[in-house]
This record gives sequence, C-alpha cells and structure tokens, in this order.
Amino acid sequence: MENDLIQRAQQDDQQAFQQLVELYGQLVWRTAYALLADRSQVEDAVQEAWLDVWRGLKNYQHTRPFRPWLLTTVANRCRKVMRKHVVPQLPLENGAMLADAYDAEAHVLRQEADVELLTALAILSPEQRRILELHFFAGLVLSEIALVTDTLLGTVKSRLQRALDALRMHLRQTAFAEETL
Amino acid sequence: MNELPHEYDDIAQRLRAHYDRTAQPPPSAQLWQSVADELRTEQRGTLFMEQQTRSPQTPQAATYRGQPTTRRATSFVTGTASLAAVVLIALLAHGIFANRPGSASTNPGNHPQSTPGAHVGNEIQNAKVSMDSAEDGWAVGTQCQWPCGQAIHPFFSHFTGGAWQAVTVTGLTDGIGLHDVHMVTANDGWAVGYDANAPAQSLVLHYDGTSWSRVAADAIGGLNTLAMVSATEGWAITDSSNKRILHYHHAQWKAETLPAAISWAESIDILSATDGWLGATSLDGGQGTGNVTAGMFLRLINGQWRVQQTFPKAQITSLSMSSATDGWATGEIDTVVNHNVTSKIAFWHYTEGRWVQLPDQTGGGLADGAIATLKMLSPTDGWLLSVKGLEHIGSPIAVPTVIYHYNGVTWERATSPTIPNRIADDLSGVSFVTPDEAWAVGSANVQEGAGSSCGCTSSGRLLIMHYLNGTWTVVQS
Repeated sequence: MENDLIQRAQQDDQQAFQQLVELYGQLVWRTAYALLADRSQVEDAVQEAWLDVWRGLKNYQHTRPFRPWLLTTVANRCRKVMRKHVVPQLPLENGAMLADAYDAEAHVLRQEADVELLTALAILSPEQRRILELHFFAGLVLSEIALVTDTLLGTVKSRLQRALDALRMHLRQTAFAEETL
Repeated sequence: MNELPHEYDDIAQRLRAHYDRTAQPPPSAQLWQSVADELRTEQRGTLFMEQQTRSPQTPQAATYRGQPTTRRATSFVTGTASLAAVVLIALLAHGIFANRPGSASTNPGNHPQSTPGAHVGNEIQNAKVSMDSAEDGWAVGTQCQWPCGQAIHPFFSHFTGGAWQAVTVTGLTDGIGLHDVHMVTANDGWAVGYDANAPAQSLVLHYDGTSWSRVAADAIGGLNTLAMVSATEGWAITDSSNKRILHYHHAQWKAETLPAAISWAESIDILSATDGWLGATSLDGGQGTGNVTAGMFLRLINGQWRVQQTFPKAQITSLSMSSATDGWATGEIDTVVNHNVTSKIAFWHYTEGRWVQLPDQTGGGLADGAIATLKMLSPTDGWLLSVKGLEHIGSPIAVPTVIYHYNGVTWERATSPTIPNRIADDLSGVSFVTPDEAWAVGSANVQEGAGSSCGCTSSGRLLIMHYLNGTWTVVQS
C-alpha cells in the first residue's frame, strides 16, 4: 500500500501524493511542532517540508524505509527554518502587548491544563521537553528522535529518563505538599 | 511499540493528555490543501495543480495558512539547557566477548570461544574495560531493561586464555550496576558502581585474583569513575552533588571534601599519589536541575583538590593527562542561538601550565551529545573514541565508529570499522595494553521490527573493539 503510493507519487501521481500527505500529515505536523522553538513557524515548516518531500521523492530509494527518510526531511527543513528565523526585537509597547497576549493565553491554558504537570515541565531543560514532545506528542520512537535531533540514541535515552524521573519526583513532591497542607 | 516500562504509565498518560489538550494538528484535508497551495508555486507544482484541477476528488478545504490551530504548550525558549544532577544508572550488557581478532574484519566468525552471560536485560551502556596485560583484563557494566530503574544487574567479563568469558559473581544482589574498573595487576583490581538497594552508599568491589568482593567505603553515593595510581593509592568520583570524592589510602576508602564552588566531579585522571586532575561542573543556585554555569579544572596539590581554571557554560566530561605538563579534555559548551540552547563539542589542551579551550578539533566529526572516550598515551599519541549516531538511514542500518588520533599537532580521523546492522550508542571505555594494542567497549543496539515504515527501536548488546598494530576491529556487536 505505502510502497505503491510512493511509487505512484514518484511518477507525479497527485492523488497518491495527497494520500501520502494525509497518511503522514499528523506525524509531520507533530514532529515539526516539537522541533521548532517558535511555534508560529510550524505551518510554514510543514508546508515547505512536504515540498521537500515532493522534490525528493524522485531520488528516494525503495530499499530504504520511508518513515525515517520522511522524518529526516522534516527535521532538515525545521533546521533551515530555525536558522533563518530571527526573533524580532519588539519596541517596548509592542512587547507589552505581546506579553499581555501570552498572559491571556496562559490564563486559558491554566484553566484547562494539568497545572501541576505544566509546572513540572518548566523545570526541565529545553532538550528534555523536546524529547518528551517528540515521544509523547509526535509518537516517535527513540531511534527516530535520535534521527531528527541528530543526537545519539544513548543521549536520547538518558535525556528522556532524566526528564521522566524529574517529572515524577516533582509531581510527587507537589502531591505530598498538598496533602500536608 | 511501548519503549517504557509500566512504572511510567501514569506520567506517560498525563503527558499525552496534556499535549493533546494544548496542541492539535489541523485535519488532514486542511493539511493537504496547505501543501497543495505551496505546490502551486512550483514549476513541477504547476503541472501538478493542473492535474489536480482536473481531479474530481480534490477536497475544497479552507486554506490552512494563517489559521493557527494551536496554543502554546510550553516554551522552548527559556534559558540554558539544564543538566540534572542525577546521572543515569549505567546500563550494560548481556554479553559475550569473542576471541581476539586476527584480521581486520568486522565481527569475524572464526572466534567461537565465547560464553553467553545470563540474559537479564535488553540494554548495554557505559561499559568499561581495563587490561593489566595483553593476556588479562576485565570488562564491567550493568545489565538492565531500559530505562532500568531498580532492575539492574552487575556484569563482568574476564579476558583470559585469549577469550572474553562472561563471569557470574555470586554474592552480589540484583540492583547493582558497575560503572568502572581498574586492574592494577592480574590479581589486584577494583570496580565501582551503584547499588539501587542503597543508593546513598558507595559500591566498591575488589578482585584478589580469585573472586570479586564488596569492601567497605565511606558513603558518598553511587560511583562513576575510578582512577587507581597504584595498589595502595586511588580515587573514585560520584555523580551525586555532595561535593565529595573517595580516596583510597592506607587500605581504606575515605571521603574527602571538594571545594564548595563545584557541584560534582565529571572526570578524573591521576598521575601519581601527589598529582592529578579533576574536571568538575558547577550549577547555579546549587540546584540539581539548575543551569550549568561553569566547568572547572581542579588539581591535586599537597593532598587537596583546588580549582585551577574555570570555563563558563562548560561540561568537562572526559580528561586524560599524558604527563604532568600535557593533557587533553573534551566536553561540551552550551550556546544560545535565537533562544535555542545547543551544546557544542569543546576541547581543552593543557600545555605550558594552563588549560586552553579549543573548538571542536574534529571539525564536526562527533555527534551532538556524543560522549567521547579520551585517552592520551603521550603528548604526541592520543585517542578519542565515539560513534556517529544514525548517520545512515536505511535498512540495514550500519553505523560507523568515529575514532580520532592525535599526533602531537592535530586530531585526525582514523580508519575505523562500521558496525553492521546496529545503532551504536557509544564507545564508553578503552584500555591500552601498549601504544599498539588496546580494547574498547561500548554498546550497540539491535534494530528491531522490520518493515518499510518502521522507525524501529532497539535492544542493546555489548560492543567490543580491538586495536592491534594500527587497525581497529569490531570483535562483537
């Protein structure tokens, strides 16, 4: 099924490519979301990544598994997006408006979200949070995370375990503190 | 495939629920429409869209661009990467050591004298090896089911009679992992590690030529690295942030206090009973999850460890002295680009009485996050061993080891073998018998789950390499 779609897409079959996009769209979007520090870049990165896939399919070899190839393409595009993106230095009044907007968003999040978990996540390093998102949000297995983050598998494992242990410890401490109040 | 043990089920469920609440991809049709819009501008896309226009199945979804459907979950732009004080319980090997290689081929099949150890886990990491001669040596490590937790087991393998033999040591309970070994002679060796049953204790084992047995040691927590300078003098460092170090002297392992500025020691090399170096890390606020503020070099002077030099945002993870006046260290430097924290490989060279920080001497040859094993034999002869992650995508995966040799002027990539059908984690230990012969150990993960769409994951095996007369060979992976 998948191989058939890929082969047809390589021959400019747009319906096959559309089916590939729909088949892997969630994976690609979630991966880009987890990889990109600036979430406003996600849509552009996803669209450009699919363009890269379209262009790259001509050279894709069937002897390779498709999913790692796709994830690598997405990760490369995200790196390019991050490299060219410069965080603007906002004037003070604009910065204040932005801060207000974030506060409002955070307020909504606080009402809906697992506040203890949010607090616990804040103690983690960016790399640890990224690995958690790639694993639990994007659904990548550890070797795929190593692939898209250009990191050794052992490093991914240690970062994930440290992150999970830190979260568990923080949540237990929070629960204990609430019980003793 | 579930890669986590059930003890993490609760936190995994909460994380998934949290992420699902805070970010959701747009529907597939919307995603496709946004991609189709992009393709329209492509030359090939023009043809593509002409075809699409003729297609009756084209969904007429709303344009996706400019319609964000996500909310910010957690910020990735906060500060420097923090590094937890908790070091991973070292993992290691169910394993078989094969015979010594006689030719430069990978995993040669003509060395059948190997003995399988008991299979009590799927992981191999942080293996260490120490040779007391070309004919005798030991490798140690930890066997476990990743991510290990309390279910760890000690691993020993003995190189004798020309073959590596897995050895079962009685009297050591489950929950013990071994992190380093140092053989002074064939009848006098030490191993250190971690006891999950008593994590505040320090695990020290002694080998008397017949058996390994646990010996008394002051409790400073699990021990990571061991540096013996003689049968009567040695040091061991812990990953616990208690600013202490174990010193073997007068036939006792006693705790000594390190300077308050450091949070924990990372690496050690001892030249003599009166001279040695430590690489240490300092965290801000004294918090275990705080940011790395500095890496520090400490020197043993008059029996006391004293801070000699400090490098901001550094972690000195490997250190090796070739003499009192020359040595190298490797590690990482945190850098912030566009609010994104990244760690870059860094080198330090001790020469003319001071440490000089240098950029990555391998020109990007080491993977980000790679834990390299460093060994200096002389000022003009040194080795750096690592692996290159998932360099090759495809099936079967074949990952090259990455080995650099220092010739007194530059670090140059040495010819090194590729590990077939494996994802290599690391080359964590090396021991030179002579400048022309060495053994190295690490871990290599087996790619599991065939299939064209398989991202796959792994279970670990012990990786053994042998260096003889200029050639590195994979003996087992």
